[in-house]
Amino acid sequence: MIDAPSVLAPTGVIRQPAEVRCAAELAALIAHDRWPKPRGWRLSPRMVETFVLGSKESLPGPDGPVPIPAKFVGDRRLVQVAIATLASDRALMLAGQPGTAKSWLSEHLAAAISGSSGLVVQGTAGTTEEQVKYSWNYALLIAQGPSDAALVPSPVLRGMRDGAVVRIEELTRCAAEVQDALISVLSEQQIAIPELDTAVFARRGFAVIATANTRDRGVNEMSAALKRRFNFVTLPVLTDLVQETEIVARRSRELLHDLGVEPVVPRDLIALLATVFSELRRGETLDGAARVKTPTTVLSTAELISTVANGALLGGFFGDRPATVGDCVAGLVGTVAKENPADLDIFREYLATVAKPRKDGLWPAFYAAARDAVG
Amino acid sequence: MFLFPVRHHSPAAARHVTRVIRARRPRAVLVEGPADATPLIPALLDVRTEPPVALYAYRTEGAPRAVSWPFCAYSPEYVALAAAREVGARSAFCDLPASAVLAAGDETGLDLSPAEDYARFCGGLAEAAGYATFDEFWDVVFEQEAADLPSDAFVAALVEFGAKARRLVPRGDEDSVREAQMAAAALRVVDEGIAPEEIVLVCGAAHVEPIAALVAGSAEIEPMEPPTVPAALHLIPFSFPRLSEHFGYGAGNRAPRYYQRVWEAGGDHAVATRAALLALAADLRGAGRDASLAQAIDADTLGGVLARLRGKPAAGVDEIEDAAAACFGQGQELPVAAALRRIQIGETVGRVTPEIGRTPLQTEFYETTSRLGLPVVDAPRQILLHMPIAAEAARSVFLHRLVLAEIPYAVELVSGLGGGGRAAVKDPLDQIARSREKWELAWTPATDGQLVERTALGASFAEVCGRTLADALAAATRIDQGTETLLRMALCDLTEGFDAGLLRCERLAAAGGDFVALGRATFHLDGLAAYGAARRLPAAALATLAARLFRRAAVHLPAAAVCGDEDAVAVRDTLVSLADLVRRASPVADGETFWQALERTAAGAATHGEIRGAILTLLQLGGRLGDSDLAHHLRYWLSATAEPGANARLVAGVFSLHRGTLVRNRPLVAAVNGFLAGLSLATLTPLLPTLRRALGNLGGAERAYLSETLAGVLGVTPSTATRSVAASDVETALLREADALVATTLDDWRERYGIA
Repeated sequence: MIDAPSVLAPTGVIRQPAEVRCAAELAALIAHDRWPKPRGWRLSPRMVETFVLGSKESLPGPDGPVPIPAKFVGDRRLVQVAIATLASDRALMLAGQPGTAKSWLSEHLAAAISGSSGLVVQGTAGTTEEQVKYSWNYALLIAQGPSDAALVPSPVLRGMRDGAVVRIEELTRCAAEVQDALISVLSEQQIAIPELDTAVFARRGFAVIATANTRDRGVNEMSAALKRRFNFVTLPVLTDLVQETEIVARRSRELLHDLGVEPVVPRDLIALLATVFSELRRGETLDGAARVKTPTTVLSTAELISTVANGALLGGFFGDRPATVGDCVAGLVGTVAKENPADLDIFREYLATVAKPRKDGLWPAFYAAARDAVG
Repeated sequence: MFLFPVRHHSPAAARHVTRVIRARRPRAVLVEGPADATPLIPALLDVRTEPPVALYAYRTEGAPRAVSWPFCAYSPEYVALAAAREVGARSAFCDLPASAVLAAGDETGLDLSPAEDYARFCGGLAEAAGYATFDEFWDVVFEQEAADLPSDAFVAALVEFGAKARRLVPRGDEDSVREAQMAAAALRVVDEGIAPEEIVLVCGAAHVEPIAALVAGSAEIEPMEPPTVPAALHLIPFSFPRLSEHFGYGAGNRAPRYYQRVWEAGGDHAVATRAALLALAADLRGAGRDASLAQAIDADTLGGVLARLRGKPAAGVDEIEDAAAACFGQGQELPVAAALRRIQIGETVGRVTPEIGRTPLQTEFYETTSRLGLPVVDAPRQILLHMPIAAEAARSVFLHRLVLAEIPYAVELVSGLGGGGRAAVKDPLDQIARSREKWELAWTPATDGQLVERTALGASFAEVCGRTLADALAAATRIDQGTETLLRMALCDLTEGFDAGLLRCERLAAAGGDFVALGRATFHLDGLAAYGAARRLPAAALATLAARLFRRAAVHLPAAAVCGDEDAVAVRDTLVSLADLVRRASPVADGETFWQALERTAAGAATHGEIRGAILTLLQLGGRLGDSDLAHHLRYWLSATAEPGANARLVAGVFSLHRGTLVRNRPLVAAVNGFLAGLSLATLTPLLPTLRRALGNLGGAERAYLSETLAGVLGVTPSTATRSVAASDVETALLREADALVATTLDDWRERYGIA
């Protein structure tokens, strides 16, 4: 596994978009791309796949070899279906539980294909049709009547004009009427502007990547007509403990580096926390010997990353030492049990039946710290 | 001599072998397959034979073993034989005969079980070429890319592949034996005057080099006589699902139906994929899901783009799976999984020409299933039969006969809403009483295999079943085994042997003296008498025998009641069933004898406590004991022995039946309470399991009655009731046990059924 140092030194920006963070990689990939590119794409589909899934060899760059680490760890076939969907002029829907890297994947695909992941429509209950199509500069509109200058294009319109990838996050949280406004956009690839008596036709390179969270309202809320406009890719929750531990270690290191903190989180601590999450998630111990009750919370990989990072920060800022079990447990409890008190009981039962008998490694310390935390 | 390398069930190899044979026009074509099956080649190629079919070989003596060699329309061996006939060449199978294969330890007779190393070689090769699995690699490199090469290039590539595989992994002796066999067969053809250039030998790719070396004479062919066993060969229908199960390098393939499409499209994978996706959409629509033509178009486009992205010439099996999930399944594989199976693997069942002469059982099977309208497909289908309808009763009889003859085709399931897919308990008494039966039917090649093998037992199902039942009767040692066989006869409507069966049962009745067996036999016969009218059984003879058995059972009861704990349960259950017969005033039950026997047993000193308790209750329910008499007897027996265990069993026995009535019997409850209260807690605790069995799972109403009665016994008024219930620690212990039991039951339900 290739270690990826943060490309830029910690800047004042909390989180840089993918195209900035991975600018050197993208440049190297473009320079060495010899595969055919669909019109409007900056990289060929194969290079996009390499960018997302990583490559064992580094590419030569102006300042030395540029490693291509994996951005997304998971089934290669899913990523291939996603890229092929976009290459065949279809809209892509990334569905899955919270914390399965849907938005992360969407951002990186957009960065690789169009060089920009900034054309985003954030779906909320308050999203209106204007944010999907266009709105007006009302002062100009009233003063001079409808004109091109008075038109304020939405990200979708801009994407159609420029031939770029548009991301729609949490599509299913939008009201149904707003979702349905997308139907004609996706099938006819144009937005009519009756006030100006014109229409904007999508240029090649325009594609839509939507994400939908299956835990909340889910894709059942989408109308059948809209569902048909998308190719679906469901991202699964990670089940491979080793893979999960790798991802958590890497991402938390990147996060902490961005924060300017360099504390060390011991590898076995990450493995222990990943085990706890995994066992609670799947409802049985890793060796399948005992059943475990599952809490109502999702316990996704993203939450595990933040628990680990939290722990490291506690250790670094308040203890000036590497993270200990106690530091991480504090964040763990809040992740496992959110608003449902029954989840706390489930965690206690887990401690008593699974954690307590384990005497090896960090388990005794974990048990002690957790008992203190939950009582 | 031209050696043509093949992989089993590969359309590309099939196309090329046809081309080569047509071009070379040989005079003899030898094909890898059991040599003793050569006489079946004309039947195999008969126009009325529709693949998939298989050569089926089975041992005719000794431990049963069977082996099959399947062929589908695009199996290179099958196609080679057809091409041979076309050019007028003579054809034969040249591998080890089936009689030798059956003698060896090999299960499948096909080119495999691959050695583990070989599987690793294939996996490694695939990975090096950038594919996830060997099958994907084979698909792209040989089925798609090499298929368009000229035949000699294809042959060269496949020979090299086979040689490398063979070299990398030195396989066992059986390969050398087979190669020697095939080489010897080829050389024999040469000896008969056909020049080597006019011979084409079709065999697995890995065998080409060794056979070529043997034939060229550079290596010695050891004469060998592999051991053989008596065996018979037959041609039976096969199915695509079984073909995909035989899956492994060289044997079977992972998507037989899809490759059939490829074969029919002349090797054009794009056309086959399109056809498959359209069929998938139609199948999903049939299942009630949304699957429009537009979605099929999108899936086809996605498949094509995916194939290009993956560097494949055209979309294939994997792309269909991915596109199906993305376009039809909303990202999930599960909704489309069943339809995909039907499209990729398929359910097709082949047909064998009538020329081959089916065995009588096969003929009867196919005729009857056709006449009765039973499905013959290699996929499970459920049917519900209503006995009162004559046509469905006929189906039931046929299916029961098949089950008795051990032909794998039908499995009876638990009927009714709560049954799910559970197999029904095979109790003939239950079965004969059912008015509805649910069956799951699935034809498999094993069905035909067994139809062929069972012909040894008879020429019709009636004969086979009759023989099986006659053997069962002869082997019966207890009366209830005999009567059970009679029940089976009734189920299978084989009433010709009934009188003989009845005679045998009478003889068994005279011999045996086991109460449980006698009791069971009695209600078997009672059941037969009750339902016998509909099935034309000699009701009078049955009733007479049953009555005689009943009386004998009553005679044997007192002795049987002196037994250990495990036997007590069986005795008690039988007793309860016999009491049921008396209560129903069944003609076979002699009430007076029964009651007298019970009274004698209850009074016997050595009778097991639980049985005594049950008998007391039965007597009371039958009106032979008054309410207070019951309590009186109980108190007497409780005081008769100081051993608390025996007394606990007695109490448990009393409460094992009709608790709803008993809990309202105040003197009885008083007696029990007195007994329990008189025990110390230490003595009570080991008795709790027994007591819990009887009293631990009372229903809500029963519990209410019990508390009422108990309150009356203890002289507690409703106002003081709550406090005094808590006061007695005996009752608390009982309650706690009950609570714990309820809790575990609820937990269990939550796990199993999701009821919270």
